[in-house]
Amino acid sequence: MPFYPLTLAGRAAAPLRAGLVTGLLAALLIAAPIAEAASPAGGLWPCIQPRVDNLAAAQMWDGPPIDGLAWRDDAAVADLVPVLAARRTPIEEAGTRVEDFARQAGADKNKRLTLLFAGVFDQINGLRTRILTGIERYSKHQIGLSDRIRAESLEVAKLKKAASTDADKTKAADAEKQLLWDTRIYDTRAQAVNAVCESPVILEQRAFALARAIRAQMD
Amino acid sequence: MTRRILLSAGLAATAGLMVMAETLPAQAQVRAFVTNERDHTMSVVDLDSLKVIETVKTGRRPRGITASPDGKLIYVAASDDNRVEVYDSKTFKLVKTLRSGPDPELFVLAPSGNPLYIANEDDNMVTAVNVENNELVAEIPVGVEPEGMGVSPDGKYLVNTSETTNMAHVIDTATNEVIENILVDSRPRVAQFNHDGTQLWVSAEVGGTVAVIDPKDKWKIIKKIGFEIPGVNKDAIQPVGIRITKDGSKAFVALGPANRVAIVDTKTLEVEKYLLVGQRVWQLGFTPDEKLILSTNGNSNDVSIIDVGAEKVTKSVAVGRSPWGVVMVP
Repeated sequence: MPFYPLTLAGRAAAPLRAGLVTGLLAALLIAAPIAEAASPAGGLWPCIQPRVDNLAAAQMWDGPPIDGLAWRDDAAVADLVPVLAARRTPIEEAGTRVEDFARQAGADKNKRLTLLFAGVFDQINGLRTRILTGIERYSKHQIGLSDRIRAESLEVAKLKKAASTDADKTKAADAEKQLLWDTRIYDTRAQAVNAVCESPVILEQRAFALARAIRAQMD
Repeated sequence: MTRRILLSAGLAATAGLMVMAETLPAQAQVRAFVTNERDHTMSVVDLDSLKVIETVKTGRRPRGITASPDGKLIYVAASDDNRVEVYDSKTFKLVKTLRSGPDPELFVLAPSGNPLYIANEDDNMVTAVNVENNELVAEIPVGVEPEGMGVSPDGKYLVNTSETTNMAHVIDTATNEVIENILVDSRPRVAQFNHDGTQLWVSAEVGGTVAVIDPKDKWKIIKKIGFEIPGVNKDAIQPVGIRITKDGSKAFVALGPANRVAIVDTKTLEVEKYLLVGQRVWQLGFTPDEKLILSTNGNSNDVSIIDVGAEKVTKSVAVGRSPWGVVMVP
């Protein structure tokens, strides 16, 4: 029986874990209100990687400060930032877009490249923060599910023992089926956790690569 | 927008090759060997073309790497296969394997080229192996979770750091006994002597410092060097790899997730400069002429090439996943 419980957000069922995780994260993210972004980690953080709330620009950038820069006021920057930040834009292509931007940036090249990094950093950092919240919600759901599985397995044992009529046996079989489904969902999600946890790392890698590409264009 | 970004998001690593427009001094036929911890491979980088010319499959989880004094052999610690692999530096073929004791991470070759001293994290030992015949020369009990390994230029002293006891253990190689224990800061990672043996540098990853020790004065700590980078959280400054120039003037210290290499004046023991390299910079290695130093960047999956004279990063070269160590031979 093909069964991919995590293919959410309307994706076609894909047996690959990467697809599964991507879909899962998308769904979590859509549901994640930004207001929750600052929620404390508590005991919900399921990843080996330490939870770092925010990226630090200084870890990837040794150019001029970017605090409080109004990058959206520069129309070309505002247009380019989402393209660069989007993970579907291959990093090589992003590099070319940065070079094109630098060529056309005019006398204020360094200033505008700094704005560009400010925008990329804002965007990726924001996205990353929402993913962190999504991962914690995912973890919370797993904890809930494991409690349910525990209760269900006790119930199945009890029903099976007490089953004397056909109706009782059907009831026990139904309960057992539910238990199997829930266990399967739990296992699939547990297997995906490592890849889910890699997601913030991948975003940080992207921010770093873009910072380097932008910085390389500055005089 | 956000939804579209994520739906289209691939999980492929974004190791990019971002090139700065600067030429490098010629390094005739010098090759860098880089262990890629997560790929179970070793990248061979040609330093003329700055391209990966070969990716060699190694044992599992290759970490520590060094070369024989004549540059003909490359030693790789295959941590999860519990052995040391020896490769021919010209043909890149596996020549033989050596015993290593359990979970070898870091090792150091005696200046003469034999034996190889290996830190065994799991059983609190340093194993000395004869590289010619694979015989066990000694097993030296040290502190809990031995890690960094350094040997004095005359080969008389071996220094091992232990992660858990926060100590550098000095071992007399004539007797294979610990003769001194030096308390340093939290989680010491790497021990490195300078070339005339007048200083021993020990990095403390969690402590965020590098202790400079005087071997001639009862192994006393001369100074603990701290690091500060504006805008970078203290926790992210995690000193690991250390290399000191042969003339003894400059030391390079890799600072982990601070993504910087610090350049330290070895006379004043002050930090002169921080260079932004790649993500989670781990180990360092000089070219034989010391014109260049390379850093392995574990999270950006590349090596940065630093011009030692100009004190500038000139280029980054993408290698495998989680590059760990680097060694260069002519």
